[in-house]
Parts: sequence; C-alpha cells; structure tokens
Amino acid sequence: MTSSIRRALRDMNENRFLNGVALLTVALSVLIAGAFSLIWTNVDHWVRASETSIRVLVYLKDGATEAQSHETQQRIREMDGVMKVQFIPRAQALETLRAQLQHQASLLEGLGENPLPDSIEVDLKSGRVHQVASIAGRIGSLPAVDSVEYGQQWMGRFAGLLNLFRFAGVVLGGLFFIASGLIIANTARLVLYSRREEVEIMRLVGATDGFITAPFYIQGLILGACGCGVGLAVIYAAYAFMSARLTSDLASGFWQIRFLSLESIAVIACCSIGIGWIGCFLSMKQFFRK
Amino acid sequence: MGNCSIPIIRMFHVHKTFGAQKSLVDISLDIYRNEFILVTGPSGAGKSTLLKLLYLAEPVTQGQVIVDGVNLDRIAGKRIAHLRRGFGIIFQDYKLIPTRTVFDNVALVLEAMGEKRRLIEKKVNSVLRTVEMEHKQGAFPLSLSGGEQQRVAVARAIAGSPRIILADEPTGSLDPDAAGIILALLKDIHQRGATVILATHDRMLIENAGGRSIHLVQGQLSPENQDNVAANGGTP
Repeated sequence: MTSSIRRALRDMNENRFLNGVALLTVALSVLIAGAFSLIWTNVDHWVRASETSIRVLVYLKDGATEAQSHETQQRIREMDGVMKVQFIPRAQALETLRAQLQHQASLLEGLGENPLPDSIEVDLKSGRVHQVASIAGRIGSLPAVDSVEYGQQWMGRFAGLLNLFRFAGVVLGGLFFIASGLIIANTARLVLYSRREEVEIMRLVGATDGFITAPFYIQGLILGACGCGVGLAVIYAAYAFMSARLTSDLASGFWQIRFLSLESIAVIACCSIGIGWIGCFLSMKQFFRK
Repeated sequence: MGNCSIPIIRMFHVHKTFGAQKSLVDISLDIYRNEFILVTGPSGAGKSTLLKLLYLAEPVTQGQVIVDGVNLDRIAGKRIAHLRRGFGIIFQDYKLIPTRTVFDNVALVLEAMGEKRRLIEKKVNSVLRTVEMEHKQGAFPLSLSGGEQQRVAVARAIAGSPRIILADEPTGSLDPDAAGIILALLKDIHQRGATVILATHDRMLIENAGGRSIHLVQGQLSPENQDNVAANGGTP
C-alpha cells in the first residue's frame, strides 16, 4: 500500500496539469453543490423559524349562533395540521383593541354598536407552511365563516420555490459531479495510455492488475478529497465574509447565517471522493478490457 | 548441472499461428531443471514466439505447455502474474521504464511481489552489485549505454530469484564486449541454479554459451532436435 501511495503521488506530480484540472473540476462541483446547500440550509431554517408563528384568523358571519360557532371551532380542531383553536368573542376583541389603542381609545367611544365580529384564532403546527393555503380554504368553506386571513400567504408559494431551489441544486450539483467523474476518468485514461509501455512491462514482470491500478484509484481518491477540501474552503471563506458583513449590518442579530451541517459536509465529501473512485474505476475497466 | 531428471517445461504438439501465418509447428520438447538451453535459428524461425508462449505473452493456438507442473492453458487473471514471477525475462530492447531510475526499474519486480521496502533495497543493491551497476542506481535508463541497460535488465530479471530465465536475443543490440558480459552474467545465474533459456542467432553467443541447443527452422524443430520430444510420446 505504501508503494502504491508513493507511486500515486509521483504520478500526480508528473502530471500536474491534468490532475490540477481534475481537482479544480471537483472543487467547482463541491462549490456549486455546497453553495446551493448553504443557501437552502439558511433559507429553510429561516422559514422553519417563521413557521412557529403561523396563525390564521377566522371571522364569523354576523348573526352566527353560539351553536354554529362551537361547531365551526370543533370542525377546525379536527383538521390536520391545526395545533390550537381559540374563540375570541366580539366583546373581547373590542376590549383588546381598546387596550391596544391606549390613549386613542376614546375614538371607540363614539361607536354605538361593537363593529367587530366574533373570531377564531387558529395556530398551525410547525412545518405546515405548505398547508396554510389549503387549511385556510377549508376553513373558509365552513358555513358560519365570513372570511379568513393569514399573514403568511406568500409562505406557501415560497416553500414551493424553496423546494424548486433544492431540486435545482441537486440536479446542478449532480451534473457537475458527473462531469467531474468523467474528467477524472479521462485524466486516468490519458495517463494510462501515455504509460501503455510501462503497464505492459509491469505485467511482464509479474505485476497483477491490482498492483498496476492501485495508484490510479489512490489518485482518484486524493483528487476527490482535495477537490472537496478546496471547494469547502472556498464556501467557508464566502460564508465567513458574508456572516461578518451581515452581523455588522444587522446588529440585532436578527439574521444569523449558519454554515453547512456536518451531515451536509459528509454527503458532499462522500459524493466527491466517490466520484473520484468511480471515475478511475470506469477508466481502468475500459483500459484493461482491451 | 543440477537435477536434470525433472522437466521444468514441457511442450506437447504446440502450434502457433498468427492469422494464416504458421509461426510454430508441432513443437514437442522437454526442458529440464537447471539446463542452459540455446534456442537458435534464423530470424523469423519462431524463437521469440516460443519464449512468448512460455510467459503467456501469446496464447497457444494448439497443443499444451506445462511449466513447473502448471498447464498454461488453464490459468488466467492473477495466476498469470504469479506464473510470470517465476520467470526472469530479458528482452533485446531491454524494456526498461525510461522515467524510472535504475534502482526503481529493478525494484519494480519486488514491489509487484509485495516485498517490504527494506528487503527491496537490500536485494536491489545486491543484484546491481552482481551486474556491476550499483554505482548507476540513481541514473535513468536513457543515460546508459546499451550494454549497461541490458545489465540493468538482467538485474531486474534475477531480482525476484526466478527459477527460469528467459532471454530473448539479449545481445542483439550490443557490441561483442557488452555481449560477452551479458553471457557471463547468464552463465553465472545458471551456475547458481536457474534454468536459462536463451533465444539467439548471435554466433559468438552460440559458440561460447555451451549447453543444449534447440534449433528452429521455419517454426519447426530441426531433425537433430527431434529427440527432445517429450518422453511420454507427446501427450500430456
């Protein structure tokens, strides 16, 4: 094994340009996959944080009876994704408004009759942002309901966009990883072909195919690992730069960028190293079949 | 001579053709342990082809070859590599790796055998001393003369302590003095117990080598070699 590692490093040194191109391609793939992952991680985290406060306000029709109100609350409670249902009588709503208006509460004095309707506050379970629109629609179709409001109408669409973004990241990252694999395969093939005679001599002196190919596999693994390291280092540098800028711009710490999770790094590293190995495997298989 | 009663190589009605061209025709012979064999004949007689069949660079078209009890018809993959480790092969064009030093070229055989680095260094130094090339171990092959390159090739051939040395026109590209050195080395290897099979049409070598001669003419054994036919009547 030591001999194979030594030969792999020597080969890489002798073919610096080819290996450099292969390494950069892997690094670029890692950079693309990593950048998408980093953006997705942060936006997803932000969306999840926002989801905890998803609330739907349901206004009941004027003249809705107590029985109808109870039935409506019950039917909402039974809906999937609903965490909490709280009935707000119109009188309580007026009192709350009065308290909120404080010094301007006298404005309400001139009102003869309470203009506010009975309402129901519905809190959704976290992680149901994509269901907000459908839950609101179902509530709106109940007979005693006049109208439904929720502040995060855009969130459902945003969640869809986020999924699309993640899909694009996976596809683009995947394509670049495939391209990297092909470039590594090509690098190994070019080196092998330039060393046909050497390979032939090795075979004649009793070297097994395993002995001949081991350095190439090691090169593939090294290219994958180093490409991964370079790509992640660039992402980390960009992250550190952005993080510092945002922290100084938003002193409140409202927006804090997170780096890739260990799981994400592990997946990217596995893809990167795996693609190095697969690239070599394809070349060796083709070369030794001839 | 050592133990000459046991054939280390047996060939039974071996034929080799390349397309329509017959390179070897019905060759049957036994080669015994520790023999020094000269395979002679004019260019195109099939000398190199005969050697190539032994180290499996070419497959036999018809017939059977048995090396040290192993039927070459029945081995494949890793076993071919292991079989070749039992041979030390010397080529007319040396077949040294130009981008590797003399030391690395010789060490390659031992690395392929999975030997430890310390043992490799010891053995390489020893065989380079034998061929008097120890002082050039850091040199690259192309900086050496033809005779020196062939001495390195001999060192590589004996580094793995093979039982059989196959030398295919080893002096073909050398001047008489360098050829004499190579022949002396081969005789020395033979004296140490190896079976040496030397394919050549070099008159000097044929006259000075001694040993048994197998003469090929147009791919066939010449009549005087017919007594080399396998003792059991030519069947494995």
